Amino acid sequence: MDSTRNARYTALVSAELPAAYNLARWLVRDSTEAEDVVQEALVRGLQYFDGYRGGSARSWFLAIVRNVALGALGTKRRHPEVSLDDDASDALMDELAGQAGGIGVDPADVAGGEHEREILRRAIGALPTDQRAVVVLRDIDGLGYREIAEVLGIPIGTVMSRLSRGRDGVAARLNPGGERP
Amino acid sequence: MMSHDQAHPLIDAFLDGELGAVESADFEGHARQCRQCQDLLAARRALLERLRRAPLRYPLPAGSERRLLASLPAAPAPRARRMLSSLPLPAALAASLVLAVGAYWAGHRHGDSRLAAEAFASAHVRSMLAEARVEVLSSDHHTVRPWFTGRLSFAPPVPELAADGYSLVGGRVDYVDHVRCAALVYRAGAHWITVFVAPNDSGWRSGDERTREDGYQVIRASTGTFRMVTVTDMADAETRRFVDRWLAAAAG
Repeated sequence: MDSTRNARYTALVSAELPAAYNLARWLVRDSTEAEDVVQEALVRGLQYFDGYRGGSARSWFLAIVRNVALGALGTKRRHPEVSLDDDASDALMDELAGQAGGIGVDPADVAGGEHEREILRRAIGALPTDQRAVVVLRDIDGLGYREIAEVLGIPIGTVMSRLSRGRDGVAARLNPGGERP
Repeated sequence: MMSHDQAHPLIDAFLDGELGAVESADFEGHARQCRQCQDLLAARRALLERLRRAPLRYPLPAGSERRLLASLPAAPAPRARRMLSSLPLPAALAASLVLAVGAYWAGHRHGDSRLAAEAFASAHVRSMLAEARVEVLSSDHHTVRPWFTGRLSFAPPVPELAADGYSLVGGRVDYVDHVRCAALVYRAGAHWITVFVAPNDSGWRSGDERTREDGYQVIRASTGTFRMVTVTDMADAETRRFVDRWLAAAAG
């Protein structure tokens, strides 16, 4: 009984792992930490699985990922002194770099002609977390507004305004001479 | 007729097809006559097209789907457990006793994972202190791989990872955690990486895991045919990237 429940759960969430990792990676800005977030979300999801009433499995699981990711970010902010191990300091460096206008660029990627991708990733990465989440879910994952509202636990009107502000922010960073004050 | 102030906040929802039919028609009606909205629409379309064309998604690192799902109780039961559940109760009890004793002996023989991780970290540190970190020096796996022939009972994979930023310094034969193994030494900037390789059935602990020993990362993984243990002082994320590239290259 328990094993069929677990098997159903695995079947349901395994298809969502790429989107889950992508969202976590964009939120926590570190690949190892993103994997840890997905791992924790998988465990929590299994605990909450009995409360899952059908509907979009993606929204349901991504909402858990988002909660875990924001929790991880919150812990780091509240306890900066414990974030001296490599994982956390990498993420912190990424974050600082992001605030300074650029997420750490992987030289191998740039050498591979991924310049455009890095520019866009930096522009999105520099957005505040709430706008970044909406832009990632809409413009990278292609979710509809209703799904995004479910994942983030916010009204659709808020999705619309965050998305507009987020896209404005990306555009302003891509054309610094343009709309930027 | 919709005013500009009403229309402006709807631009994104209009482009995303998220407005109702009536609202959408109202918006279009306004935009046809509003130069400002036309410019904004054009700029936004260009931005969205640019975002669509670039692969911005971060792909799951190689092997991580397996790693993630393996951590769930929902993962396929280990073979021993599946066999047990099909046995009648007394037989299952007897079998689990055998397994427990076996596990004890396996644990006894190889120590717990902490001790084993320590052994790998020490082997790495020892080699860093030695005059020669490697017995065969090379930046080319074509000279390293044949060198192991005759020195080991197996031919270890020797991936060339220069394109990923890791140069192969060379290799040596080592003896770690009761197993005669290949030690491959790579360099990434100021960091040194040792990869210990032995066949799957050599007796090293199975399973992927990551531990830390005196500031060194010790990561275990498997190619299916071989077990590999990576020891380095690189950061976590970078080490994970190295292991993924190494496994992908060894499989390819």
